[in-house]
Amino acid sequence: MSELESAQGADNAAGATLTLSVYAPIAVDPKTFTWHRSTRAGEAAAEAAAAFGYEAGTPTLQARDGQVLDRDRPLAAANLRDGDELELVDVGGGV
Amino acid sequence: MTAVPPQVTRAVLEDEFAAAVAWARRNAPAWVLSCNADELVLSVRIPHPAPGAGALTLRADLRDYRAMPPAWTFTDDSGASPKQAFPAAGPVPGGASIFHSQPVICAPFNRLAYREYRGPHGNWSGADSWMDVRGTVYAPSLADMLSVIHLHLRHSPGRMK
Repeated sequence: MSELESAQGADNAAGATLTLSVYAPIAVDPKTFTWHRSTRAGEAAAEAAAAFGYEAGTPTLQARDGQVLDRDRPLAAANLRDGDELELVDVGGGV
Repeated sequence: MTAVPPQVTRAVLEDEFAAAVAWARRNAPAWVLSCNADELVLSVRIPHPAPGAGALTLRADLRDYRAMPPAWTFTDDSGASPKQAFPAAGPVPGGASIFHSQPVICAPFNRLAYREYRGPHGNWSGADSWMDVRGTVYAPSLADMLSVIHLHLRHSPGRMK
């Protein structure tokens, strides 16, 4: 079973979506988003970044405990709960 | 490049410093941010996360910001920037560390990373096109720059030697 299928299976028990508050460095106030649990962290971060006005970058989400979410994994893999607060971070890397 | 009038930079700084303070409160409460609007300098006192590495002093010269990126550096107590004032590079999610051995913070948001300012990068279009650089970290505001530095510092094993 793929990770995506597993996440979708978990949806039936846990609720299909996550409503999260996302902070961005560029702004003082957060924005609230609702995503399907199977949404990849990179995709969610890109949507949040665009909503905050970012025009480029390699964003992902960071949980309050400092965990930087893998952009290629679903949100369900990060043990998030409704109401959790996340921070946008850029993982573009140096050169 | 025409110099940015200091009052223009100060107006930008007023907005961006508020966001930087809020970011630090959420993510790096031990960091101490201070802003000298007259001299257009942002300073940050940062406990290095590695045991025994002590406190770092991060400084940004904001003259001509936002037309030019800030000139970011780490300084010692005398205001100089020897290697030992810098964090060492560590493995970072997403790619290489921004802490270059030159020593310099190697990111498009640092004026000192560009060859015209004695940095290693002649492959970027020039410091006045800093917002157009792609393929590396992207940080369009002071708080974003601090966020990147914070993320890379979390993976730093200590000070540069």
